[in-house]
Amino acid sequence: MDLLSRKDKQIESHTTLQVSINNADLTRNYYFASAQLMILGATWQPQLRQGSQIRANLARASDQATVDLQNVDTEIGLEFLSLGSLLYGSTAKIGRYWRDLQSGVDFHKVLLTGPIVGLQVDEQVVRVTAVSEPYANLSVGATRRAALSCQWNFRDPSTCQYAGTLLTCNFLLNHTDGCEGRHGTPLKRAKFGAFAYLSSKSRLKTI
Amino acid sequence: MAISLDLDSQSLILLDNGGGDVGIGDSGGGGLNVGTGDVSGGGTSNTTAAAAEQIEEFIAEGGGSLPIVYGEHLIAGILVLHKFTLGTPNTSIIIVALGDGQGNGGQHGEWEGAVAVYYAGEALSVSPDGSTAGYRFANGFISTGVASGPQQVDAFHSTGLAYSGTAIIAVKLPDATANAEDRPDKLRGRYKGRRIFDYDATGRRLGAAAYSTDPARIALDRLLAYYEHKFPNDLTLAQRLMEEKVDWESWKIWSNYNVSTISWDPGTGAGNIARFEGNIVFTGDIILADAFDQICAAAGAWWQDDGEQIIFLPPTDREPVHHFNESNILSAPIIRPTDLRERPNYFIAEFRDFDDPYLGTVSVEVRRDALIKQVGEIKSVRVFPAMKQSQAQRLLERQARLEADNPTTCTITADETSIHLLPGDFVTVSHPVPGWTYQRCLVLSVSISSAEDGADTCEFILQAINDSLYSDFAHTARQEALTP
Repeated sequence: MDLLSRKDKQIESHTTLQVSINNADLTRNYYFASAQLMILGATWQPQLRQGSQIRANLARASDQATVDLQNVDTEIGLEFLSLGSLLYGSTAKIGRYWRDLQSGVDFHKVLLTGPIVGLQVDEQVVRVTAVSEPYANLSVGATRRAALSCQWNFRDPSTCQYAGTLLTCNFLLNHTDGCEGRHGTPLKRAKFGAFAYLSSKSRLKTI
Repeated sequence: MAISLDLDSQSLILLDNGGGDVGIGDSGGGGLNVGTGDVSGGGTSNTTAAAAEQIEEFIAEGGGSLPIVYGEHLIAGILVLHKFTLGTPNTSIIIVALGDGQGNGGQHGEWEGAVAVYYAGEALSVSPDGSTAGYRFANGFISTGVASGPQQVDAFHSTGLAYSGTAIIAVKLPDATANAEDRPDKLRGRYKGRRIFDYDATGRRLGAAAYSTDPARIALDRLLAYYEHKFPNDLTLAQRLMEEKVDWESWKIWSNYNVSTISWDPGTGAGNIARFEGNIVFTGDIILADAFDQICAAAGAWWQDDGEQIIFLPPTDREPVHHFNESNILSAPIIRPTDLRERPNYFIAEFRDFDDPYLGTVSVEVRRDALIKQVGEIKSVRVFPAMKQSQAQRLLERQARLEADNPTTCTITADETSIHLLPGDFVTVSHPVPGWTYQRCLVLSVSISSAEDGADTCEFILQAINDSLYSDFAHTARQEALTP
């Protein structure tokens, strides 16, 4: 901020994009900017062609950023396509970078952090779309319903808790391909994640 | 590239280089209407208040969402079992799902308990076994065994399910009631919702989850849920990402502020109450931003996303973080006092009175008589979630100060030295056009235009603030309960 407030400043500024993939299968970081930069020890490749685009309206639509990377040599496009589903859900950070041409003092500010939700590749550009995290389409509200079939994610360690050898479940209480076949009797009555009596005599009696 | 943020939507807009500027709603000074009540106030509470009404509706056919419940609520629930047996006497067993407990994920979120349970208005008592009429509450732990560990199969229906992860109430109706009629739909209860974690100022978790209505802790519980839903098989990663996302210093200040006590008379004599509580429920899908809006609205607070971390701000006066003057303002400010005919001057808030055992709906009002004399009554009606009358009055007074007492907004275009400002920050302005010298202003919206071939510029909509927006003393004693 001191840099920006100096009256004698001569500043160059750039848009930056960092893509971080960090999961059990792969850990990888990509750094792109509209010029080759060194920020915090990382080299930012000058592949970013068009500044980010994030749109939202006052009705709280998703904040969305669209960043274009050059793909004339097709390298970035092939790289991102090879990542497949690993790219979706990885974290993008879009920012601005300022550097005083006289003193060399620089400053980097991240303006948006959020998951990548879209990728479009053509022979000119790779277009990466990200949304800011609070606006990501991932519900933090009431997601589970009073239903007949089990709603746990099969083998989820915090809910289903099945850790045996079987890899599928049909989510039915008394079925050999369901809770009976995984947890057995009587444990299935403790583990089942739904409301199997909903369609029996549980209905409201109308008088 | 242009970035646009506003206090109303927390939105962020970037435009291409050279794509021109984008205003907020679209600038010119009047784009953002503070009077909507959506600036972390009345309007943003409407959804929460509506959700509280939804959970009072009995659902007999299943299919309903299991609500996420914080604080105390009156709940009818979702009927998941009704076993009626004719005999002498008749027996009627009812099991109702109240909401999601640990089933929401992350191995936490069980409920605290039942405050009171009624059938057809008659209070039921806790049943000690599977044969005595009354109710038995299950917190919503993840079950590990039918007859061992947490959330066992209830004794009222010992051949049934444990309803793992779901807060339930199991009821055996009194004999006289079961003999008279076979209806499960007259069951209502007042319950205490989810237990949640607490953290210190560095983000370190403090002990086990415990019942709390602190809006700050509620906000973090939803933030943690976001990452737990995103990484359901790696709760350690979810916890770490949550910790990295929060500006802990500001969060702790907000949390301490909420739980600090103030003096108030609820009708039984002056005592101390927590400054802000959140009795909040979510009954459907909701994104994190909207959840934050609703939680913060119950406490008059704001949240900011600085691009990397979430910052929470209490409604207190804060030090200005920037000073605008002629050296950093690029064009003359445009000043727009809100038209008197569009300025609310009579504020009404409806809410569930927390001090009423049945959480009945009441209302409070705040008037600005000087304005009413000039243009007549311009009413603004809001709905708050369940809270104490004191909290409702203080929140409504804050709305009145925001929307009626401080009507002047100002559009400023400034240089890049103000690029760090976020909606919700306080600044000062000195400029000859409005005649201001260190005028305190609230940042309502921000629009940053950046171009690779030119200097960054920032456009702001500011609201001139001439007094404190919030007061601990803007409440009156509650009418004591009288016996007719």
